[in-house]
Amino acid sequence: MPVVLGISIVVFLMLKLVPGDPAIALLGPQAEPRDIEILRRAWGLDRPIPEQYLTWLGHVLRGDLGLSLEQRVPVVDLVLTRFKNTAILTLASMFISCVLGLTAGVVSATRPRSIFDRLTMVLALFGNSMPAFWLGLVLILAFSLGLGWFPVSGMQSIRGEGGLLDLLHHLILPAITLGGATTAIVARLTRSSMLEVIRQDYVRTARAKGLYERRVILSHALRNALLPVVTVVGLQVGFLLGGAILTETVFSWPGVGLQLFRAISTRDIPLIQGSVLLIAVTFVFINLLVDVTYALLDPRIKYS
Amino acid sequence: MADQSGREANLLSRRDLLRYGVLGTGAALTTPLWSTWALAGPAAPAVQPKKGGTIVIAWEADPGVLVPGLSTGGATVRALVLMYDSLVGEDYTKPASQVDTPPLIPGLAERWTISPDGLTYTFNLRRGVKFHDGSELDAEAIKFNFDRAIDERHPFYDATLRAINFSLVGYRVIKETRVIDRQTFQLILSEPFPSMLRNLATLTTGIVSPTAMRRLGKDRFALSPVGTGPFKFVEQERGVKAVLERNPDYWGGAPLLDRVVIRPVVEASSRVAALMAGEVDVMVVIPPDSVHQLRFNRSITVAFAGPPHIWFWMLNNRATPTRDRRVRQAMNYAINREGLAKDILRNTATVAKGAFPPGNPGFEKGNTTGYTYDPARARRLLAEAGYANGFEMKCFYPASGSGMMVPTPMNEYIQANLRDVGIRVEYEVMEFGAFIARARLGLDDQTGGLQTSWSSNDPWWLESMFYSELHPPRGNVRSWYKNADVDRLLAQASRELNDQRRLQLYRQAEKTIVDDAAWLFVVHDRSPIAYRAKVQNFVAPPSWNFDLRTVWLR
Repeated sequence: MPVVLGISIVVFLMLKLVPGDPAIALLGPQAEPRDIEILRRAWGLDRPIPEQYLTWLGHVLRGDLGLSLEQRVPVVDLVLTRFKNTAILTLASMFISCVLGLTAGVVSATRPRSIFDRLTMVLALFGNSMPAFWLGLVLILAFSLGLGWFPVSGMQSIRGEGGLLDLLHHLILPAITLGGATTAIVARLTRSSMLEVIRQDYVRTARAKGLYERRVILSHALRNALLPVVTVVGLQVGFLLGGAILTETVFSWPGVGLQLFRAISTRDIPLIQGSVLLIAVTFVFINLLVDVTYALLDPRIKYS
Repeated sequence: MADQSGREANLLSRRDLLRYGVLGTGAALTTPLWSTWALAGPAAPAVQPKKGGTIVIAWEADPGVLVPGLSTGGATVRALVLMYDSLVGEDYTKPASQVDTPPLIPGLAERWTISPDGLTYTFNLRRGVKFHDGSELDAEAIKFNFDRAIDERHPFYDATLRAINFSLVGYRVIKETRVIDRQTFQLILSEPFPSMLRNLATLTTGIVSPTAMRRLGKDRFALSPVGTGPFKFVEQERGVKAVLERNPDYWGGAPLLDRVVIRPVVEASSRVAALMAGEVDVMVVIPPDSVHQLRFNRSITVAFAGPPHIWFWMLNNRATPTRDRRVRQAMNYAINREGLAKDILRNTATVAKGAFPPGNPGFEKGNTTGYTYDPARARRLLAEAGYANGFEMKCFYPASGSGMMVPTPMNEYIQANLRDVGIRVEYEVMEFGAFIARARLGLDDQTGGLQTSWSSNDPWWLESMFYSELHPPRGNVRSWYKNADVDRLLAQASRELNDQRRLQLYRQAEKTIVDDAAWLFVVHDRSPIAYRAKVQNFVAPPSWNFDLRTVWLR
C-alpha cells in the first residue's frame, strides 16, 4: 500500500512538473488563453496541487477513478478493458518465453559447448538484441503479408465473428514479438543457473544413486536452478505489463501501454493516474507471487 | 467474404518476399505490381452502385469522444462528419481537382439570411429532419445546442464545448439565440463576424439530440451519441473500433453502405500493411515512403485530398538576428522547397509560396510568387544584414502531432539548407503537449524560430496569425510580427461584409506578410488517402474529412 501511494504521489507531481496541462493539450495550439482558463477552472486545475491530489485520492478510496478528461468515459472502464488486453498479451508472451526459454536453457546446460548450445546462445543473443518494433514488422512482412497466415493487426477480426480461436490467431505474432527478448533472457539465465547447479555435490550424489538422468535434471537440478529464473520472470511480467507499448503499437493491440501513451500526450491526468495505479498494484502483487513461489520451490524458505 | 477477396489480392509472392528481405524500420511494405494513381478522386463508376456492405477504414488515431465540440483532433472531427450535421455544411463530394475549397452548402438550415449590419443570422430549418433516436429537429433543439456552449447556467452547459467553440468557431460574438418559430432560428451577434457561416460548417458545431442528452445525461451521452447525420452510432470500443450504420431516414438520402467501421491503427507502417492485407478498405495519413510504394499495387488507389494545410516555421520578428527582414528573406531563399517535397516527402506535398494554404478562400493559384531556391541571393542578403559569416540560432518543434508530417527528416533537410548559407540551427525536439505549452508563450529572445503546422479554411486565420493586437498572451501571434499596414488591412477585412472585398484585403495583407518573410513558408500537405479497388466512388475533397454517402463496395 505505501508503495502504491508513493507511486501515485510521484506520478501526480511529475505531471505537474512537466510543461503543458490537459486544457492546453485538448484545445490545441490555436486556443485563446481565456478559454484555456475556463477549462482549467472547470476541471479544478486552478486549485492548489495538494488539494487536487487529495480530491483525487478521496475519490479513489471510494472506488471512483474519475472520468477521462479527453475521452469522457469512466477511467475504470477504460483501464480495466485495456489492462485485460495487455494481460492477455503479456501472459501469452510469458508462456512462450518460459516454454522455449526453459527448454533451450536446460538442454543447452546438459550439453555445454555442443552445437545446439552454441546455436541456442547465438539465437538468444539475437533475441535479446532485436528491438520489438523491428521484429514485429519483420514478422508482419513474412507471416501476414508474405504467407498470409496471420492477421496484420488488432485483437479480433473486424469482419468475423470473433471468439477464442480468432483471438489466438491475432495473438501469436504480437506474443512472439513481445516474448522475443524475454525468451532469450530466460534461456541464458536457465543455462547458467543449471550449469552451476549441475556441478553441485547433491547432483553428483543423485547420479551416483543410479537415478535416471532425466529425473536428476528435472527434479533435482532444475528445481534449484529455477530460483533466479523465477525472480527474473516475475520482474519481466511487471515490466511487460507497462512496457508492451511498442508491440501494442506495431500490432494495434489495444493495450494499456498505448492508452497510457496517448493519455500522457493529452495530459489526461485521471487516466494516467488510474493506469499507473493499476500497473503498480499488479507489480506489487506479482512480487508477492514471486516470494510465495520461492517458498514452494525451496522448502528451506519460510515466511512467518 | 469481402475479407477473403481482399487478402487474396494482396499477398506477397515468396519471390517478392525474398527480394525485399528484411525491411528497415517502418519501410518497404510493398508489392511490385501495377498502379492506380488518382490525383484527387475516382473514375466514374462503370457499373450500377450497389447497396450494402461494411467498409473498414484505418484511422491514424482513436477517434475518441464522438460528440461534437469536445475534441479538436482531426481523427475525431473526420468521424463526426459521418454522424452529425450543422446548420450549414461543406460539400465533400467535389474532389480537390475540381474545387479549391469545399463549397458551403445548406445543412440543417435549408436557407439563411444575414441582416445588412451583419449582426443577425436567420436560419430556416429543414422540415421533417429526425435525430437518430426518432426525435424531431426544430428550432428549440438548435437553441439547446448553442445555449449549452454559451450559457453557463444552462443545465447541460459544457466547459469544453464552450472553450473549443469560443476559440475556434467564434461563439464569443454570439450575444443571443432566438427561436422565432418551430422552423426558424436566429443568432444575434455582438459584432459582425463574416467568417461565422464557414465556421458553423465545421463539425465542432454539430447538432446533438436534446432528447437523448436529457435522457442519458451530459457524461453518458458520449457512450451513445445521437445526431442527425448519414450514419448512426452503433458501438465504440476505445482503441479498437467505432461502428456506425446507415441512417435510412437521412434527409439528404440514405447512404449505400450498411456499416462503417473506424479502426484506429496508430503505427503508419501497420496501417499500410493492414490495407495491403485487405484487413481495411481505406487508410488515411500515409507515410511518404509508402505512398510511392502503394502506387505500384494494382488493387490500391492513392488519392490526394489537398486540405488547407501549411507546414512552416514561425520566425522571431522581435529578437536579433531574425528581427531583420533581410535575414528572414535570406532564410526563405535558402530553402529548397522543391527538393524537400520531392526527396523527403515523395511528392506528397506542394511548395508553400505564402501564408494561405490551398483550400483556404484566400489562396490564389499562381498569384503569390513566394520565394525561390536561391542560396546565392540568400548569402548576399545575409551579408547586407551584417551576417556574412552566418549565425547560430535555436528552433524548437514537436516530434509528432496532427499535420506535422515527418518533422525530423524535414527539419534536418532545412537545417542542411540553412547551413549551406552559413546559418547553423540547433533544434530542440519536444513532446507535443510540452511544445504547445511553450509555443503559446511566444518566441523568447534566445529562440529564432519554432516549427509547426496549421490547418484553416477561413481567411480570418491570417488575422489570428499576424495581427499585432494578438501577440501573446492575448493571442497566437507567437512570431511577434508587427506591421502597421498589415494591421490596418486585417482590421478592415474583419469589418468588411462583402466576401470579395474582404478576400482582396486579406490577399493584400498576405502579400506584405510574404514580402516581410514573417515566417519560413515551407510546404502544404496533399494528404494522400489510399483505398482498395472494391471501394467505389470514393472522393478525396480539399479537406481532412470525406463524405461516405455515395461510396459503395463492389
